[in-house]
Amino acid sequence: MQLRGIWLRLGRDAVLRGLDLDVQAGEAVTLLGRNGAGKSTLLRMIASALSSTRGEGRIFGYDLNDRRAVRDHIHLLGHDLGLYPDLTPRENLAFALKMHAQTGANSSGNIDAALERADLTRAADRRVRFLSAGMKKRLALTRLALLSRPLVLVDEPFANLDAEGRELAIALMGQAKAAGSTLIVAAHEPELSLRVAQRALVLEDGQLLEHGQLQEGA
Amino acid sequence: MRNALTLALKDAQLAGRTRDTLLSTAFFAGLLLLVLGLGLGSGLGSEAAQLRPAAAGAVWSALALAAAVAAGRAFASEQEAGALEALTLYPGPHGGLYLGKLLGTLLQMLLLSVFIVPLGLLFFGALGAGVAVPWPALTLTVLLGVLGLCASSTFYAAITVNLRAREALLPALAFPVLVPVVLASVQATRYLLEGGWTPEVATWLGFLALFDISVIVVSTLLFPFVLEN
Repeated sequence: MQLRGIWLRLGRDAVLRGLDLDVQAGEAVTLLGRNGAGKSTLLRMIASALSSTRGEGRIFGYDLNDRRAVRDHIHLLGHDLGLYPDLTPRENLAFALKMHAQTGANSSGNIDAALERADLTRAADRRVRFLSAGMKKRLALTRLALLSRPLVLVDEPFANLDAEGRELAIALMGQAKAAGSTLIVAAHEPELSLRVAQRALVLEDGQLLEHGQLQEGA
Repeated sequence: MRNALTLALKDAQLAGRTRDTLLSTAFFAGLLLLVLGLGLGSGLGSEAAQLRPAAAGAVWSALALAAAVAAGRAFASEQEAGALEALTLYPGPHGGLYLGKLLGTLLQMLLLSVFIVPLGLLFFGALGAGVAVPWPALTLTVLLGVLGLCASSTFYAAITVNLRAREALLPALAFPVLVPVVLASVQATRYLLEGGWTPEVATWLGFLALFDISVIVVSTLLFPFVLEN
């Protein structure tokens, strides 16, 4: 993925200001920065949910503005988890798999195994609206690992999670990375996100200020 | 098409489970029929027969506004669940999302029509002892009319989903497109109730079919631009 001179305005405010970014296929990167720095906006723009005002970029060889092609390669786990409160966890995962054309004889077994790994088996047939915030987050992270898209964008993966849930988040993102996904993780917890990411980028006032090169798994 | 069916099945599953859209549209349509009936002086007695010419107009007014409510809920429920953005980011053409939402809304509206059409006809003296209703032709009219209402309302529901006053704006914006559907449906129903299958009925149903196809094709093509802007 290559972004060059990206500007993005929301209303009167320029949230991204001439941002350049290079991420190699299969790489895991963490985006750090204060609230309002533009991390979520950057992820949503890469996911084609927002259009850049200026600048250009390519994702897996496709133009950033070719939204259909970009959508075919990404999964965004944003602040809104995209879970249906009146479906069960099992039904939510089945819906996401079907929408990604990932159906087949193994999909039901895969869902069961994924729910078990996330310690959601007992809640598998309860409506999502009755789950705690942490359980919902674990379900959304489980979906992320199950879908295994080429480019995975995760916003605040550790929010609402207890220590066990955070370990699960690291494991599930690690699973996606091991399956070949490119990961961009926006987080406020560098000590956690750097257990998945090889590189840290600091975003401040819509610009990338600093690049950190770290050993994988450091 | 696969995504459209998956989305429609999900919406139908949620509609059956929560019943919020079904109940709100049924209540709305029933209330509208009641208000129109009371306003025009209807009752279930002998005076009802005098209002028979108004039956088709009352039934289709109720269905048109109920379709706007149902289509609005189809997108508003996604937004309330925090799933609207995720829905627009799934792979595949966005036209599939339109067709899925249209199908989900259509299923609910057809279920509603099963109750609202006979109730409206009964309330306005067009159904009862001594009145012959050509049910097969009327069913075809309802199918085509409701499809047209849902096709137009679903498209405009996507446009208004992010607006604050979406409930008020949706019927207002969709109104110009709904007029031909309501007009053709009312005329076909009126001719059917007055004299059964006639060439006029065939003409109005032909117009409805053509209109439905045109709206669905144009909406499917324009839908990506609606979602991306």
